[in-house]
Amino acid sequence: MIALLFTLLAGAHQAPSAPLSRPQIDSALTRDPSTLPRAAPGHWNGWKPSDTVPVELAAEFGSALRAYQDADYGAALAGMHAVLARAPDFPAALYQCGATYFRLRRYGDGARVFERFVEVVPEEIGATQALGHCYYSLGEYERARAHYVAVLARTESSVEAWRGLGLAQWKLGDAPRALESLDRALALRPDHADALMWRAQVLFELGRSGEALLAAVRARELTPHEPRAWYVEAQVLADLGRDEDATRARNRFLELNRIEQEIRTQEGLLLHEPRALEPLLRLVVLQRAAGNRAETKAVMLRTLRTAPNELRVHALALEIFAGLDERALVERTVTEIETRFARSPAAWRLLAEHHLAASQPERAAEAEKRAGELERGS
Amino acid sequence: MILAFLVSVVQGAQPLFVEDAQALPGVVTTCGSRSKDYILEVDGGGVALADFDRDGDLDLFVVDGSTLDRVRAGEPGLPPRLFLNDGTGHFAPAPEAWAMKASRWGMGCAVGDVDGDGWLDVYVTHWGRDQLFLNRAGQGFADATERAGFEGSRWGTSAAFLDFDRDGALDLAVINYLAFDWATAAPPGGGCSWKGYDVMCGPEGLVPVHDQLFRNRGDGTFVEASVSAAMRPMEAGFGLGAMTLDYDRDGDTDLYVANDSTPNFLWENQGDGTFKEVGLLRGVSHDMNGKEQAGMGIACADIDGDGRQDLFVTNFSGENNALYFSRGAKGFSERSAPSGMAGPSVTRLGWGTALGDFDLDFDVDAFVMNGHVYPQADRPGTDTSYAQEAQLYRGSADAKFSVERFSDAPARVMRASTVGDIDGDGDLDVVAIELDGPVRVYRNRTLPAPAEGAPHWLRVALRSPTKNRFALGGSVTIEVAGQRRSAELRTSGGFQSSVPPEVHFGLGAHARLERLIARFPSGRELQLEDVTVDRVLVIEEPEVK
Repeated sequence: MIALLFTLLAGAHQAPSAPLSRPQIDSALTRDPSTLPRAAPGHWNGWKPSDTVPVELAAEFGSALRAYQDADYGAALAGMHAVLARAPDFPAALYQCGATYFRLRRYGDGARVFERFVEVVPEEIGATQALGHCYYSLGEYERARAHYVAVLARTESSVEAWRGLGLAQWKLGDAPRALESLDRALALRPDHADALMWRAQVLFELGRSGEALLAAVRARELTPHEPRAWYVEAQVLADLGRDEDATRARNRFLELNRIEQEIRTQEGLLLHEPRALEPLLRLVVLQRAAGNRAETKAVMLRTLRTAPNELRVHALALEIFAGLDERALVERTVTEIETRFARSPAAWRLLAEHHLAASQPERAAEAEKRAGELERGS
Repeated sequence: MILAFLVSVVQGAQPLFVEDAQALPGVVTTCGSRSKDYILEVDGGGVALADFDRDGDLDLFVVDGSTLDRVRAGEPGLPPRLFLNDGTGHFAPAPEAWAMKASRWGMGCAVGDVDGDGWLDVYVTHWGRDQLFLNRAGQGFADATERAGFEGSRWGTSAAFLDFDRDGALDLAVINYLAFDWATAAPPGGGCSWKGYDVMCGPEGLVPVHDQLFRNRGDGTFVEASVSAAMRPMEAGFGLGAMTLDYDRDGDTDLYVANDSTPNFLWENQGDGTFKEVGLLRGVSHDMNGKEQAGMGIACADIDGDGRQDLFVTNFSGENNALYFSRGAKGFSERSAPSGMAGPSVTRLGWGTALGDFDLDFDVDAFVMNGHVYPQADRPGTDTSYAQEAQLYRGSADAKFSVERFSDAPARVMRASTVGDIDGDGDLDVVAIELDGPVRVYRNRTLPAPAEGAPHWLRVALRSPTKNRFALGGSVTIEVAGQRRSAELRTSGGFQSSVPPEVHFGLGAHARLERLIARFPSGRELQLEDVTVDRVLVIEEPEVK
């Protein structure tokens, strides 16, 4: 939903910067972003997202970006604040700061920072659909609508801006225009499940349940793990008098919603404790139970990055990746286990079991042999 | 035209309500500590308006809480209190005969005539043992809890009187929140966080408790009928709000329950003494995306004039308040956003609420009392605040609402509220509880107005010959200038509160009604033609010979 805008210097991702302390992170989290230093008007004129990050900021900026990508939003925010302290209003850092506030669900702060970004580099407004999302999340639908319109005037191909505009128009009671905007989003990306779900919702409210069903079914086919998809479909089916189908959809909604509730709880915990291992492990299991392949894989990878030295994490990764039929990731995990836990009999036993289950008896025997050797101390 | 002009003047000049600090001076309630370390400390007490002494004006019943120190010391909480109206909307403590003993920690209240003697009684919910106070013919209250058969100790929040089995005697629904055990409750800093800040724990992680239905045996004693009446869901919710209504217009009373962080319930009365939970089926359990919300208070009225009852639910910050329009047999449709009620509520946490024609222009309006549960809401980045302004949603003929200031009062941490014409001038006034603060009285400025162009109104009460004397579950429909408005008789309203057993219509410029149809709980209808307005009309159901 929120893209990265800018180009780092080659190698900046690897460049180390001093790790941030907890007080630094807490200070950033409790800081009002409108107190961030400001550059002289016009200082950043001519800045382009494609400009490389200045070399003196690259390490710090890169670290903050990595923290963002690892969903460590406190560290990301503190890092970007540090960059902005050295280079007031540096547009890339402002933008990334706004994106971080959005991820932290601090929409008011996000809006303030994105507004500043637009003030500093007004010609880049086309990339700020996230500002519309912030206003929308605050219930300020008219401001959201106006901003999406401004974004689209510059970037007509922004799927997210069309989708956002459709939602804002719908919330403002303009169903026909909402439908037009959602259709524009879907013309750009026909498999946009969220836009399809909203399209179904709007059509349902307009009493066009036949058309709504087509959109709802397509959305559900694209995201069968989404409780909302089933909820919308159940509503439409009931309206069409297809009671048995509606009941089935409703029951699936209830199953998935129960899982979704727990997912939200774990995600809430991780928002502020991004390295908490137990919520991460639970989240992997929940995403798998919901049938969300993409998220299962993403959270599993994040968990591996968070706790690379925990054998139980790798054990779960083997099981998860095998279940997802992600062969390359399975092999990568096997190699990781062989390397990181080379002296652990338990690790080799785990690999033996895995190879056996994967119908690779020779590898299994070799792993079993290695486990025995380690146990015997040879 | 004149009326429209007047309304626009009022809209432009000053809020519709004005706080009257002299109406109830010095009355405060208590709900634990100001730091709000435990979930028990955040709900505040309930409030009710009803004519307890039958002198023709609305008296005020206030439920009070307790403190942790009192609980620790094994002392009772603060007792509920009655304040009598002098007829002008000024309240004074009722004489000693009306004094009530305290239970452990008062929460909400429901008003109804339990014994059918024509005098309104009160049920008070508690964290602890609930209480029933019988009205001794206007001479005071008598504690009838034990005699009536109410036992056990739970955390009750809202309660509602209804005659679910249509035997003519008022039954009772008690909405329960959760199992709060002082000994095992997580202490401050107990690991619960919101928006990155340490806050009190709950309701997530705590155990919800089933609501209860009590059947009136007809002699003023009650027996629990939750299971026999099938009002027992597979999973309990964190119950906070209750509303009686006949959503399917089949003549019996249904029950809607707002649950905190869990799906809301709609208990459809099957007409045979049992209920069926149809919240999800009828589209009132979740928001429009299928997400459960944190329901607090409930308001109910026929907003669009189709004769069907619509529902309004106040929710947590970050969620919008929900407005469910009835679509008849197909259930409800959540239309808070296109109606203009969603956006302004997103950063607020709503509690007490009511739907009514507050500006008497013939369209239904709404108000919401707001205030957060976490004092930490004032910390950076929460997108909300602890104290919040109350909101008035002014309705229009096309069932859309525009938000405006409720009063000139500053932002406060508000909770329960009730509504009624306390000064007898014809418009609806509001009384609300400020958490750990005064009970606040808000007068409606619509009336009095200059005689020429003053909007018209009508209050209607029904009287039944059964033990359900105040005809709860009945309804009134008016017809004027080709339009219809309907309202049901109930005392459930808002959050943990109770409203007078009457209906109120704003009539704008309409000085007479073409027709009024009173429908009694027995199913009988009485039709009046060419009805004069600007008065309180009490309609007795004729006894069957």
